[in-house]
Amino acid sequence: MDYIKTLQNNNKILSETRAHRFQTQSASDFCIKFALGGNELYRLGKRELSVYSDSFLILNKGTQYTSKIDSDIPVESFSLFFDQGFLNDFNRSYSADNALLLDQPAGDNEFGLDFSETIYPFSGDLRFNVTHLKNNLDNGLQDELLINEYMHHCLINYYEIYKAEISNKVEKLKFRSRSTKIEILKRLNLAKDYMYTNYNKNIVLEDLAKHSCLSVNHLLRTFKQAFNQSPHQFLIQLRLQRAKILLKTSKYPINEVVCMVGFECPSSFIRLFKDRYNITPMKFRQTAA
Amino acid sequence: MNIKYISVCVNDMEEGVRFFNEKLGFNVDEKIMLDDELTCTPIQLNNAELCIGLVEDKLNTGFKTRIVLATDDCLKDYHNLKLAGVSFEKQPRYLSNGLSAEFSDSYGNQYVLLEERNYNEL
Repeated sequence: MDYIKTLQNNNKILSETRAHRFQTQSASDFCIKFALGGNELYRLGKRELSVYSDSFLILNKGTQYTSKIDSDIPVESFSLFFDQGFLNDFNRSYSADNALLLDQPAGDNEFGLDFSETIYPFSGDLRFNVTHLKNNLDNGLQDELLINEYMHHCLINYYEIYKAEISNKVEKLKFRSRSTKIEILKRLNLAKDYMYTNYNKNIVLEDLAKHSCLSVNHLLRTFKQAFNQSPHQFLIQLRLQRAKILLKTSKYPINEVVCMVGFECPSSFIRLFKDRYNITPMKFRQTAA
Repeated sequence: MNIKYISVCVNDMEEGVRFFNEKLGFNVDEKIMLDDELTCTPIQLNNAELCIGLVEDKLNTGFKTRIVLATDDCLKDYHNLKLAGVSFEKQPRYLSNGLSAEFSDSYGNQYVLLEERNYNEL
C-alpha cells in the first residue's frame, strides 16, 4: 500500500510497494528504512547496503543516497522519518531514564553519529512495533497520538539495538583507547555490511579484509571479539536465517533456496540448518506453512 | 471442572459496572446469586468463557485481585484506555516475554495489560 503520512510534529511515514524503482535522494530527517518482503539496495557514496526483511538501515539527516529495488515480486519499502525536535525531546528523556545504564553520558549526538549508518538486525520488539504500526496505518489509522506513541517506542527499540550492536561491541574490543575501539568497530561494520549485502555470493576472506581496511589476521581477531563469532560463522548464520525466510514465505524448491542464499551443497545446508534450528528445512517448511 | 468466575470486589456495584463497561468495554450480564446474600455481576470480554464476577464488598474485607488481560497490541489498547479515562500506574515497558502496562480501578484491584511476544520467530 502506498502512502506518505506527515504528522503535525513533522514526523513522517512513507510506504511504497514497488518491483522496480531507482531514486537519488537526500534524507530529509533521521530515518529508519525497512524493506518488507524483499530487498532494497542503498548506495551511500561507495558503500552498498542491501536491506532485506530481516534487517534495517539508519540514515542520518542530510545523507545523500541512491536506492534501488529490482525484484520479481513487489517489495514494500517502509520508512520512518523522525523530526529533529521529536528526536531531541526523546534523547533528553531517554538519556535521563538511562543515565545510570549508559557507560558515558548520552548527549544529543550519541545516536546521531555517521557511525550509526549501518545495517542492523530487524528483530525483537522493534519488529513487533513496526508491524503493528504498519498494519494499523494500512487499515486507515489516523490518530496521530497513537502513531507518535508507536514512533516513540520504535526509537526506544532502536536505541536498545544500537546499544547491543554499537556501544556494547565497542566495549568488547580489547584496545586501550576508546577512539581506537570506535575506529575498529567502524571497519568491522564495513565487513558486516558487506556480508549482509553479498551474503549469497562467494565471499573470500581476503576481499572482506580489504573491504574493511583491516589485515586478515586483524579482521579475524577483532571480529571475534566484537561479534563473539568468526566472520565465517556470521555469514553462515545469516545465510541460514535468510533460507529460513525463503522456506517460510516462498515456494522455491529447497535445492533452489540453497543456491539463492549462497550455499553450494544441499547436504551441508541441511546439516547446518538442522544443527542450528533443531529441525530439517523440509519439516520447518511444513510446520511454518 | 472449569473456572467460571474470578471475583473482583468493588465498593459500589453500579460504579464498578460502569468502570468495566464504559471504560474497559466489558459486556455486563444479569446479576446472579452466589448464595442467599451474595450477588455477583458477571462481566466478560469478547465472549470469553472465563468471566469476571463483580462482587460488592459489603463487609469491607478489602480483598484485592490482580487480573492479567491479554492483548495483541499493548500500545494501541494502552492508548485507547487512556483516552477512555483510565490512568496507568505503569507505562508500557518491555519484559522478557513481551510488552506490559498496568492500571488499577478505584478499589485497588490491579490490571496488567500484557502482549506476549514470541521473540524466537523471525
